[in-house]
Amino acid sequence: MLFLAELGDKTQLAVVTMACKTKAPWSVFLGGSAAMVLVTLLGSFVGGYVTSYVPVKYLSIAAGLLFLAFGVMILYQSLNSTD
Amino acid sequence: MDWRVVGLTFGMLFLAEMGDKTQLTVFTLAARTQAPWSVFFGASAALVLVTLLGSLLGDVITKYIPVKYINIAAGLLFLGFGSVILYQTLIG
Repeated sequence: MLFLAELGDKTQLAVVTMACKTKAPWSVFLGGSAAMVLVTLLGSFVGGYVTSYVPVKYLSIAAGLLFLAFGVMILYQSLNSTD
Repeated sequence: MDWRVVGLTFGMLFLAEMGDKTQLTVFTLAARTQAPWSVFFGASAALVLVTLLGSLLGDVITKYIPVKYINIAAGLLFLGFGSVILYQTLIG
């Protein structure tokens, strides 16, 4: 169920681009997997509490800004590089 | 192992997935089946496999497409993700 839902999802695309960009696929795999397992753990056991205590809205805003900053940074670097 | 990359990937995916549809699905499944450990193991295995496929695919892509084009595409992709996430959070 989740395997199918996540294939081609934005998260997997982020993993693909990170692995492309950093050329360190195993580091991306380790960091990415750890994040997914932790999120799943929170979802399995404290899902209800997380959404009522942790402001998901702020987490989402932080994630959005992080992606934007990363996009700007990558574009800036690649357009200024000579190769 | 590049720990900076590990940390960066962890931070990005953790923030992006918290409260996402995937986590809500996990929460719903855990609540409905009353078997949180089973849901945890099944869901973790699926997500780790998806992450593995993504990492390996990225590795293969770099062998065929020039890095400059990958970087431009990656930059635009991240700008797109960021915009979509912010739009959904603030307006949608």
